[in-house]
Formats: sequence, structure tokens, C-alpha cells
Amino acid sequence: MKQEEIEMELWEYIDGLCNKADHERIATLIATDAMWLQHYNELTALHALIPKELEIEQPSMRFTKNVMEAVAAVKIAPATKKYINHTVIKGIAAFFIITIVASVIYAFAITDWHSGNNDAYTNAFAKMDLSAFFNSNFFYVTLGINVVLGLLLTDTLFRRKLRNSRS
Amino acid sequence: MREQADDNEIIQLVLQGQQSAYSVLVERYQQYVFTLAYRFVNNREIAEELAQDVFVKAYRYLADFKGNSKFSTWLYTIVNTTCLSHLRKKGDGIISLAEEHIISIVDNNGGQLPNNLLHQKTQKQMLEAAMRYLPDGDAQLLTLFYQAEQSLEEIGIITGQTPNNIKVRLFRARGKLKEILTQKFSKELM
Repeated sequence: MKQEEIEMELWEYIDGLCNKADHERIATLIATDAMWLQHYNELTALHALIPKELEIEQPSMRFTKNVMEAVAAVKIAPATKKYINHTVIKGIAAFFIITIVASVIYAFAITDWHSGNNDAYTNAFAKMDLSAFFNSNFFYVTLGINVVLGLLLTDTLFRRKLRNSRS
Repeated sequence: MREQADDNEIIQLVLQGQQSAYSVLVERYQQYVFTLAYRFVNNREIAEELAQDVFVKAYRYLADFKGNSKFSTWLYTIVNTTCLSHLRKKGDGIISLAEEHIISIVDNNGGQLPNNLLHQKTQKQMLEAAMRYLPDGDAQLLTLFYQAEQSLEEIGIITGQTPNNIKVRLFRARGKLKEILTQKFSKELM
């Protein structure tokens, strides 16, 4: 077993994160194997050193006073649940889902499944007159908003990935 | 558990308008918040400014603390995001004055710390110095685990990562710390 794997298992043992079977197995290895014992002693020494010698830093004596002076001018913001109504968000989501499902059902309903040619789907969509929607300003505004929201979502996802990869 | 109940009671008092009650929370957590901020920036003045910002933000958004986690976990999440924002604004490659001082001494002494400095170093000083050599995030992780006594799940909440990721990062941070102590301070450890 590589040293890194041994140390990983020993840290789990020291932190109490392994299950009962692994705990007993590692305890036996520490008791019987000199290499395991040596690594165990090194790691427990470090584990004891860190909390013992690492100091909690103290801010200045005026710190609490400075904070209280700063918060004196601040108002507590209302809880987000008070101005973000999840029912409204769920309603908007339900509207879009229902619209998509209704469109799909409508497309299937007007499809001639017995026509026996490959143009069944094309004919079905050709029968739907969507020109009124595509020519309206409402459509372009909605499309614009969706594009912006899509870009914001993509940006958030990439930023999260970048943050995770950096850490 | 008792302290968690006390924190929630104090938070309720503050939300009901007793602003002065907030000073109890500040007194209780200022050292940990300051220490965490200090681990990020290695500069006392900046760390104190950041710590103050953290408490002001925590006060402003106190109504959003739902009590599902410990108040300390929620507070340290604010520390993490505030300090990371600060570091992003300042850019990479920040070297604290303390580190510059050490680097300059080492540079002027042929790559080694002078003997009198070596002899004066206590284990505490060695560990503090070794922590400064750790990559970004590792020192804060060790501080959260050992000093702020946060569990892996809680650290995961604070940093926005899974407990398994935290376990692996903690393992690597300890490994690096051991390596730094062995390589750079082996004489003092003997």
C-alpha cells in the first residue's frame, strides 16, 4: 500500500470517520505493523501540535466598539422570504411547463399517424399557424429576456466551476 | 448545544430591536472571525477591516439566518465569501509584509534564516510560519477544523463543497503542512 493511501486511512482513523470494521482493521495494523505505527505516531504528533500551538489571533481592544458603531447606522434587511414569494416562482414555472406540454400534446393530436409517409410530423407542424406569435413584439421581448437569463445562468455555472477548480 | 440556543436567543433579541444584544455575538466570535480573516490576508489591519465588514454584513442579513445550521457556520460562510471577494479585487500574488520580511531576510542570508532567528523560534512560531507557506484555502481549512471546531459537513457548507471534497482537501493540507515543517523547520523540530 502506498504511503499516501496509508496516511489517508490513518487520518480517517484519527478523525473517527471510518466505520467499525475499518477501525478495527487499522487498529490491528497499527499494533502489528511497524510502518503503520511509525506513520500513526507522526500523524498523531501533528494532529496534537496544530490545536495546541496554533494561536487564536486577537483583534484590537476597540474591535467590538468599532463594530457596534458601524452597525448603529445599519438597518436589518427583511428576510428574503418576505419579499420573494415562492408560490409566484412556482406558478411561473408551472405556466412554462404547461405551455410546453400543451404544445407537444397539440402537435401529437393533429398528427396524422395513419398517413403512411414520413411527412407526418412535417405536416403536423405545417398545420400549426405560428406566424401570429413570431411576428409579435411580445415574442421578441420574451425571447430577449430568455436570452439574457440564459446567459446569466451560464455565467453562474462557469463561475462556480472556476471557483471549484481553483479551490 | 447550549451556546447554539444562546445564539438563537440573542439573535431574536436583536431582531426585536435590541441592537446592543449584538455585541454579545461580536464578543463571542470576534477572535475566530479575525483569525480566519488573518489566515486569508496575513495582515492584521486588513484582517480587522474584513472582520468588521463580516459582522456588519451578518447584522444586516440577520433576518435570513434560519437556524438550520449553527450561527458560527453561517458566520464563517460570510467570512469566507468576504475574504475571497477581497482577494479577487486585489488580484493574485499578494505577499503580506510579514512574508516579505521573511523572504528578504532569507534572500540576504544565502537562502537560510539567520541562526539567531532559528534559535528564537518556538513551536508556535514555526507552526504560524509554516501556515503562511500553505496554498490559498488550506490555512483557512485547518483553522476551521482545528480552531473553530467545525465538522466536515459544516466546512462544506461554509466553502460550498461536498464533505468528501473537504476530507480530501484536509488530508492534502495536513500533508503539505507536515512537509513544510519537515523541510523548512526540521532543525527546530529535533
